[in-house]
Amino acid sequence: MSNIVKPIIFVTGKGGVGKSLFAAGLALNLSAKGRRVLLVELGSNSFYQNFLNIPVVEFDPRPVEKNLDIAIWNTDSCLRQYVTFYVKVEKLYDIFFENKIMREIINASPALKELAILGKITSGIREIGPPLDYDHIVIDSYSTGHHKALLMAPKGISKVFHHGPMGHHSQKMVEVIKNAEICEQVVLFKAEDLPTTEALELVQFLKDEFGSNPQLVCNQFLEIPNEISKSDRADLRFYQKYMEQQQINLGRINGEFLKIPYILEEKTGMELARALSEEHINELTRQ
Amino acid sequence: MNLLDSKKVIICMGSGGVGKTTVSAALAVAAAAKGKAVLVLTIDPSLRLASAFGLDGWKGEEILVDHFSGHGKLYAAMINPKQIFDDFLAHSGADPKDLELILNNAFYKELSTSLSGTQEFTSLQALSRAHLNKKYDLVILDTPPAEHTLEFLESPQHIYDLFSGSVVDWFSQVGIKRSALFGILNKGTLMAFKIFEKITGSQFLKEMEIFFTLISKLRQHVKATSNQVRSILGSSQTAFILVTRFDYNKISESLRISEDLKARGFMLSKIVMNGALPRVNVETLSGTEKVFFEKIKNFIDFQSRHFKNLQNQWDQRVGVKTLPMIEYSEDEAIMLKKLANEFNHDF
Repeated sequence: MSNIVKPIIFVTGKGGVGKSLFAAGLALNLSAKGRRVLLVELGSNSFYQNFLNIPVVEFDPRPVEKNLDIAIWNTDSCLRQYVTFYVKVEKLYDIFFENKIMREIINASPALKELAILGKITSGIREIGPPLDYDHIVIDSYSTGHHKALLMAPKGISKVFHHGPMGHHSQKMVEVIKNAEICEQVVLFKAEDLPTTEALELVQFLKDEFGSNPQLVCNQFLEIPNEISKSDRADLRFYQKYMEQQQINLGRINGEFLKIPYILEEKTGMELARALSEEHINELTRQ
Repeated sequence: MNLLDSKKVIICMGSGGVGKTTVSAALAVAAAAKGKAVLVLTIDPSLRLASAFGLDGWKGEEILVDHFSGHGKLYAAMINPKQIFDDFLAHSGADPKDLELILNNAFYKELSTSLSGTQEFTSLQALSRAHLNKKYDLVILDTPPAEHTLEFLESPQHIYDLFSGSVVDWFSQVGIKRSALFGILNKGTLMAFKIFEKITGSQFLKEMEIFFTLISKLRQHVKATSNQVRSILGSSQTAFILVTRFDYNKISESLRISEDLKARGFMLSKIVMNGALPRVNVETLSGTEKVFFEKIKNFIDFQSRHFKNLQNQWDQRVGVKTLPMIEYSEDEAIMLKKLANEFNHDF
């Protein structure tokens, strides 16, 4: 199994395949090994706050436990920090952000939202802005379509705007994403027809556009006992078919992937993330 | 009165990966079986859905799906945001010269396909057009995936604000009287503008300026459209359905969404819990099989308990429909039909 332990690790996949839980499990796994880890969620409403039962999740990282911090990044907060850094004058950013017209322009600007977030994620590597003092940043990224849009934003902008700061920064972001030493993409899927197809397409897309070699992870694999295949009971037919389909879909994948079983236990939140971290992720993080 | 009989519009909302598109299609199949002339409007449907409809090579144009039409008629159409935006402009009554400039503007090209809110806006635009068409008894709209489910309902307002707001005024004024720039802007805006230019570069701003100057001419048309859409969303003949998955966290999330909706003045008609693992009678099993299916049973019970606990806190008027995962078949049409059958009684 290839090693995914890079400074920036994106976790993506089709909606509903378990990205957030996996990202939390991965972050816990790495921090338990003594690495300093930042788990990042994107957007305005924190999923982890409820899920991991953390008092507050905000832009500035907060400790969850030893070696593990958590943060939530969105366009506004990322842009705010960037502008403060860029214009160097603290007072100016208030003028900028509290201006109604500017707010509308920011909302309307294509790719600006994605650039702000990707800019923050890669800021430590590009040595721009306040240092991010972590060995690894694990990003619970968007699902397939939106994740593609996130990564493609700097590519598009650097093509259209060759000059000026937007073009320059965009180019640097693309370089970071393309750098296999720095950036890893983990693509999660379930061994069902559609999620598998979508995952394979995404892997090809990431190869073509960024030269990446993403790590595939089959999540929620239902380990059904073989004995049931002989039964002719009607209520078992769903499971017989499901078992068959899982094998067919996994057979479509060339190369290695990690298989994580469906955890059918009365666990949720941190308990579940810890079970994942301790029992199912080590294969990916062994050094 | 059930939804398929009493409503003119059904809007299926929910986060990504919960099966919105499939549920929308199955609802349409169920409606057609009841004798309705129904249109299902989907955004970016999977090939499997096209294939379930028997539409290989379908480009998304409106089409009558024969083998699902039942006693009624089932139509399907795919929403193409770029095309809808282009049509929208073509019908705006704007000067052809201006139109050409807009269509070639780098900013517009990005906006019409990738700007957040445009998929939602074009979906509603398509819904509004279909709603006016007397051919359909019912229109079912499959909404685009969004970070927040409710973004969808706010999109008409967002787009309207964008077109009619101060940005447009500002850029059109700058465009007309560039030399008088300093006279028009207050000090704060000028400062903000300079910062923006410093971050993005002047080329970016130039394209924006052209774009906003042009769209200021479309204001009336946008306003009329937004009003139309808002009246459909607010109508008592429109139903909102929240599609979610039978999963611990998704169940909690749907509670929050239904409360948010209520706060915005919209009433959820149904919650559809999709993808529950089917139950198996464990009594008569033995050995490894028994162990496995007992585990499944306990797991389903665990989720159900959580669900019941939450349901007690819910608005009692919101009904809940649980849909089991459907047994896989090579023939997608069979799977869709089975799912549609689940809706026959209480929808």
